[in-house]
Amino acid sequence: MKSTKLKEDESVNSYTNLMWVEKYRPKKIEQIVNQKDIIKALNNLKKNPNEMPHMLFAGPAGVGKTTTALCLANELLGDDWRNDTLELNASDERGIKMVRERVKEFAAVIKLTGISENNNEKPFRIIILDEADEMTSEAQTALRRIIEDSSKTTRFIIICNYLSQIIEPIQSRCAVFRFKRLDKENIVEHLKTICKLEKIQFEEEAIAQIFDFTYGDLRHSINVLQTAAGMNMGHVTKDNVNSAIGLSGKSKVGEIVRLALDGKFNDSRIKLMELIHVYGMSEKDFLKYAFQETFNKKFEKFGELSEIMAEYDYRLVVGAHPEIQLVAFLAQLGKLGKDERK
Amino acid sequence: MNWSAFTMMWSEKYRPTKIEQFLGNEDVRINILKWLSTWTSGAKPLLLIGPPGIGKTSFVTVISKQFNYDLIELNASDSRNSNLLESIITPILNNSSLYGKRSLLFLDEIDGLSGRDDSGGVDFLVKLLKNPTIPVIMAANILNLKIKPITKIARVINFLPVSKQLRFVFLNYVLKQENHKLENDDLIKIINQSNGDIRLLLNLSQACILGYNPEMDQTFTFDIAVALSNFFSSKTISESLLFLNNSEASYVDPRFGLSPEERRKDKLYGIYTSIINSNIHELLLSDLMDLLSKVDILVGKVGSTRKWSILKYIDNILATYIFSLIKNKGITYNQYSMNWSILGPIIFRSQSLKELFTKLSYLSHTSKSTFGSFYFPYLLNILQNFDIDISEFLKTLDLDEKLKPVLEKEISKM
Repeated sequence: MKSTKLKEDESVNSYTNLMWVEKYRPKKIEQIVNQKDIIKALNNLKKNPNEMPHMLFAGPAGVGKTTTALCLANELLGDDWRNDTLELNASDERGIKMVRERVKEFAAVIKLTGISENNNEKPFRIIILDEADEMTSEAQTALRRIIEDSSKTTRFIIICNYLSQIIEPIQSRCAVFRFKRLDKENIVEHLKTICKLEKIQFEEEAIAQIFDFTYGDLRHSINVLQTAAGMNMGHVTKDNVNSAIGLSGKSKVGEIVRLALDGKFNDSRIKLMELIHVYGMSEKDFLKYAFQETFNKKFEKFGELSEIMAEYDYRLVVGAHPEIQLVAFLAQLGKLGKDERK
Repeated sequence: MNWSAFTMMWSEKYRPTKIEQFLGNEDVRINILKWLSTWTSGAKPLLLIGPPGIGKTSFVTVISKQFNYDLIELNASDSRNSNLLESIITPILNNSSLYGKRSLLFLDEIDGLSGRDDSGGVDFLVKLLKNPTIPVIMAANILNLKIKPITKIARVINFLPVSKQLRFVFLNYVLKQENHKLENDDLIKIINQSNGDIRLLLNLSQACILGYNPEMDQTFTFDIAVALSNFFSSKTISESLLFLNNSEASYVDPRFGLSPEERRKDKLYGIYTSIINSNIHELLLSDLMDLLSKVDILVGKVGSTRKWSILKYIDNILATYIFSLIKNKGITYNQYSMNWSILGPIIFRSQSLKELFTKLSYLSHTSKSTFGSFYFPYLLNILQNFDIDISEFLKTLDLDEKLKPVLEKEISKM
């Protein structure tokens, strides 16, 4: 295991060296962009790790929640922190059964080595549970038990976008940290720093445009920056930023909604299947991005659109066949668009 | 009453006269043909076991003719005690040809050998047929204790009852030939009662056409393809309901994981894939999809609450609302939600990229869905524009070189 990891990091062609978003991912809590209050609080907690509570990180996408959790694990557990950290993504590991099994397995190892009894050793292991708001309330209720059962040896860092979608009993067991959306200055400054380090030229306006498109999502911004830089021999222009933005899954969702509204039902259906099967987009994310895109791009009939999206968001949760629900959603968009097309 | 219908009994009229006319039991019949065509002196006799009316006797008759054998047939109507058997069989075995033709000995209905009258019959057969000099085939309905000793010297071949689907297809063929029609519920009753027996099937349907109404005693199910095809082409709601009720399919929740076969037998999904592929007006389509989506909510609720009793309403809902909207719209059954020439490559790409997605979403500390939306399309572009050696890149990830053309194809699609 270790040897392959070394190989990855050494190789120029490795994913983590290739992608700027990984290359410039902060390694220390101090480097996190603009979450000063959180950095301060965490630094205080670090002084007395034995008293560290479970933590809940809430905030929009791409502001550094996961990175902060990883940095914290690194700083608390030392160089081989990866061996004592379990990363779970609730969006991938559907169902509580999977989470329970993985956690149980992970907690069982610690009992064997008896780390908690030796003062010189690490105080606990860390479980990072990402996208926890994807879990149903039943699954969250079960998670509450898991947190209690393993709390002697394990600390949870639970990460979510919306705090309101985490059940109260879990909130009350955790110290809650709210991450702020990054503002334009933060993003622009950070992107320019990367450009300098990578010796990339840029149009001032192009960098500003990246922020306009990504709404404070730094992760997305860096990917757009790198893609745009690659398109024109290391020169970031407005046009390149435009085409780079068009590549994202979110833009593809916007296209699909547009096709459906224009009555091109079959084309929209094929693109939907491609997005879900090839690009692995979850059906829930599809509706989430559909909402964001139609809002940001000022689609006509936004009120009616929202009503349909709300209805199908609900149906998606309670229904059995996600494909039937989303295709039904596209068909309703076709009907809505028909009045317009007359 | 139209007596001309009896000018010939259908069970005789449609008795197969050629190998290719038989229904069902293909593997079994191929085995018998192989046995006969490679038969050498001393080869084990065959013992055919199977219910009545599925063509055991007819098949032996037909192959003996086709392979140019002289068929010597003894059945339960012949008295078969050991003396009689010996007096008939011994000369046959000794003179392997009576008329210069090769002979094939067929002992039919050997489970009918009666203990008293056929005293010693079974033991005698076992002794006599140890090293036969001509091909010998025996047949019985069931493998009972009495004929068990024969299995020591014979190869047992089991015939299965002809499946309901096959009987359904065959009966429809005969009815078409005869220019007759049966109501769907009569059709089901007959298929149900005939119980794997083609002869009985034909007799019952001929009787039904003459006015005799069989009783329903068991439930009968169609394969989902047959059931849904008929659902869509039904004339009335009750007819459409009949096919839904009697389909070999169910309402399942794919979120709990399904095998491909279970997925195929998903009634709601089957109706969805058929409707979505049809050429209906977009407004009707959006109404239908809204209904299917509502039914899907019901299926989802059943799945999460385990209240299976709710399922019984779903057939009625579909037959009442969906059927009345799609009646006469020319919808046909379709197993897949889109043309396989489009869906196939999508599934293939998804399968090929699976491992890459797992590794890279892990390295990116994010979900697969987020990786697919906000990393993967950019990565493809970066791999191309930063002139990355894809083989090297895959090597650092411990991934197979096979992925190279897959990634290159994805890049070219951008």
